[in-house]
Amino acid sequence: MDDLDWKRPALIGGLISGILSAVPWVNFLNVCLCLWAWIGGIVAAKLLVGRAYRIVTAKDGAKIGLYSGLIAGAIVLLITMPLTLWQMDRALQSMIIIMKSSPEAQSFYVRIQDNPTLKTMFSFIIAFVNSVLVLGFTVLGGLLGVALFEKRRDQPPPPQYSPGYPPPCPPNYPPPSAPSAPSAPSAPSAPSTPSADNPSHYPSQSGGSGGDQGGGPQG
Amino acid sequence: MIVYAALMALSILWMALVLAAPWLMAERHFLASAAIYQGFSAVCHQAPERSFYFHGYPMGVCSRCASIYAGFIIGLALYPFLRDLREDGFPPRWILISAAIPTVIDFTVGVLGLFANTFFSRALTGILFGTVAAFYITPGLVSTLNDWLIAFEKPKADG
Repeated sequence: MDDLDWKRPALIGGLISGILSAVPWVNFLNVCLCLWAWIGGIVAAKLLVGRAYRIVTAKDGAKIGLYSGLIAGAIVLLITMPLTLWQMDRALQSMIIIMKSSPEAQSFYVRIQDNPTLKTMFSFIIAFVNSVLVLGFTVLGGLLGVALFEKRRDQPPPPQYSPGYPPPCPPNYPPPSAPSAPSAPSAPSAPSTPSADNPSHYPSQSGGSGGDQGGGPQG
Repeated sequence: MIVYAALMALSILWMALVLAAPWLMAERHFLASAAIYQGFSAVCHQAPERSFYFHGYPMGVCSRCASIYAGFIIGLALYPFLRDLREDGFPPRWILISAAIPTVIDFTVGVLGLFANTFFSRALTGILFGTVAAFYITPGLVSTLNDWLIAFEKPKADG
């Protein structure tokens, strides 16, 4: 699973998701089903797909979403906790408005407002829950991002080469002088048709002017 | 199958939390109720006039969000009948985009004031989107959790 570049997409997705979910006013868009977290996950998945040379699976989407979400969750926890504590009165006021039909509940929130310990504890719970929610929705964003941007799954898979292919060249190939080899290739340096299909499968050989075997199976 | 069942249980638990907020409020467990309400405030505006009511109090999230979550559970329930749980692929992406369009239109025209969306329109478009989204989210979650389960069980088996 280390064949993909996880770090950069996870970092960028996590920063988008975390900072935009934590900055006041900007984080207002999160009321749309945690929109910034979705966007962070989708961006991370898009970057991962763009950098991958193989098909990115749904599992990879969940994984990049999780990595981004962990970064975003940490950012949200760090930024949101002091902010929540600072804005607790406003949050409690909104709760009082929601609970307008219950004077008993309203008086409970007023009591929290007057108790600093309870207020701190409450703000930590809220910040923690927020960071977990951002993490969860970033994972979902990663999954949807792969579903949206990974287009290669509709194409046939590339040909699979066996581990021993292409066969290694003999140690003395090309021979220094070919005295009697009528059936041997006429000239090792004679270029065959350049094979464009996945040259990375061919290990680079030292002094390898004769590395290209023609691109077809031998024998 | 265990992973799928766990995912279903988690989704139902999530929906239960949405319902638990007003229920706990009605039962006078104010602190627990407030923690859930405030937790969900990070992902929803929770406007009382746009929320379904339960036990006399607004649910933890608005009607659109609640419908999307409910739709997700419906999609998850339908999933094994329509697709193989072991399949690690997605349906074509145009289905997801098509399912999101009604929600986007309903939301946008409401914001622009072209016409006022209703509880019915929010619920219908939300359920549609949630149901379809489940088919794109489930494969990745199931295969990832499956891998973790196998990785977790392997050392035990080795030991």
